Amino acid sequence: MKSTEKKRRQPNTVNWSLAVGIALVSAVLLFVFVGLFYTPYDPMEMSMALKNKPPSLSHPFGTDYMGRDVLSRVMDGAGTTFLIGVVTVVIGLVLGTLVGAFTGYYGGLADEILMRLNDTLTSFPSILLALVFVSVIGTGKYNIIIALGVIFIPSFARVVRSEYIVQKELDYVSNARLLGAGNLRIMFVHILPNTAPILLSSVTIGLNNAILAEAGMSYLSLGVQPPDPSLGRMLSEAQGYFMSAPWVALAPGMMIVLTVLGFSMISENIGRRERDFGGK
Amino acid sequence: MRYYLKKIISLIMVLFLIMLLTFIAFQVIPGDGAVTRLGVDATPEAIEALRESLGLNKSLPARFFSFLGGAVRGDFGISYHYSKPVGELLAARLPATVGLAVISILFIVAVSVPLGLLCSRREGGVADRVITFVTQTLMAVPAFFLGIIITLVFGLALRWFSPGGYVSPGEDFMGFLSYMVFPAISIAIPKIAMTVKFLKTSVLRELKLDYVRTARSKGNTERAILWKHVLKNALIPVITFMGMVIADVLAGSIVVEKVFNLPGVGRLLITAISNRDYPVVEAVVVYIASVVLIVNFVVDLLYQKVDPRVRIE
Repeated sequence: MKSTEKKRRQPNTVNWSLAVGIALVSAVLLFVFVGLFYTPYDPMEMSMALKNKPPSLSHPFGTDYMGRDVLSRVMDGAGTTFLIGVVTVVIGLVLGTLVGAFTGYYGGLADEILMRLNDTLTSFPSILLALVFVSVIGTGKYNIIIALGVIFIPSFARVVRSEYIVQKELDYVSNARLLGAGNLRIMFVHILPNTAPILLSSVTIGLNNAILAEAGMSYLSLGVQPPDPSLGRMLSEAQGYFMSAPWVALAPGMMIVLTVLGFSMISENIGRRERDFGGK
Repeated sequence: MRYYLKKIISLIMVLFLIMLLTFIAFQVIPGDGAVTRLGVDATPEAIEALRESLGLNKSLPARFFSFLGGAVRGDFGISYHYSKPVGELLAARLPATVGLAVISILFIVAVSVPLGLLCSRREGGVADRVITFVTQTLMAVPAFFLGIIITLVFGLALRWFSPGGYVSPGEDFMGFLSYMVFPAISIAIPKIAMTVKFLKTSVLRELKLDYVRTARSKGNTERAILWKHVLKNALIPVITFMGMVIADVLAGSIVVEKVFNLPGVGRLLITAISNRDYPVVEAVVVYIASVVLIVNFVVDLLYQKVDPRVRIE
């Protein structure tokens, strides 16, 4: 009820920023998708003759310290970054939904304990938790996915749980129960679809957090390892040649900014979360 | 009183839990601290002797309690890599990180409160729209990329500071501050954007409440209403939000310290992870966790001070 009121209050701004957000994300997705099949040059091909060349017609974003084409590397690296983001969010979403559904629906002691743990974990910045994970299980593409995926479980669980607590008291749930639906059926056939709007918003925020966390960790050389390119790794490599070739850092950095901006503009408009407002 | 007691007990319990988890996490890793320190070529006798002196031969619970006891006293053992007490290493790195965090938070508060109020006073106006657009964009910029751009523009092009430089606060305090300013700005800008947005939402919600109408009907100016009546209430949720921001600032400094080459705790953590220097990693994790928890604790206390309703639960 409340949320429709809120949306109605600002009809003009909503559509405009949603449109820009969708346009940005589509452009980025198209760019990444094309990068899966075609890049102008081989992203790994080195050439000492082309070392640190500024942007030109043949290399629109210039070349890096090994003479590799920056555009091709951004296309490839954005793919890696996206892959990590998507798989991470899927892990967090699926497991978080399960935890949230059971704890929210049944409540009780397990709920108390898990939520206390949840509160503690979510009060820590995700990059710190990811660093602890990585120092235990090691670096690399797959370990990053595991680390970030596990770290995202609590935030999804929390959102799903609070939604289940509200929904389980509603009439359609007791109706379904009267019609003989079992608990599992009520949880996943009746309630789950109703959590979709709020989950969609959490997914876009989660994607952003995953992309930023991957970039940060790879920048610290504790994420994706060479020869895999990723946006964060490219930034880290670019820093050493900053004076002579600043363009190498700008392309992957801007890619991160545009992606995150696009997703945040979308999430902004598809369901405001009550918990943003201090739970009041 | 019961409220405080409950809070303190839960703080201590969570801290204990974190130490336990950290300890277990670094016990399950395959590898032997003594071998790491001496190298694989060391004689079995030497390794055995070091294991004895490091206390690695004791049982797991005994080791946990000596870790716990040490941690309480600030003694985290000896670094495998530097062969120095971990506490000493940590203490040497603290000024840069603490300085960075404090200056960032000052920037965040000093800039976002006036901007947030400006936005909400002229909601929908030109200033509001421009600030909203700029903050939305800046929120998408990771602190380390901002740091790279700042280094490029202010360090390399304009030469306002020398990138990679640092002096310790004991040597030259003003110099220390001048090296902190640009890194602090890179951490602060994305957080300022978030805080402005949050504060604006909070102020706008307050402005719709009855007491504002009462204040207005009593003849208060809009400025007086905003500063004297609304701001106090609007800041309540912002306090909780700032608690999260402080945790984020600490995390941001881990990355930004690398961009600006500052010798802070974050850099210590990163090198320790790369070197598998677990006593150092344990210490830094416990340190950051304690800071985050204590900040949350203080936030809770402040919260119930300004809003006594939360005490009744």
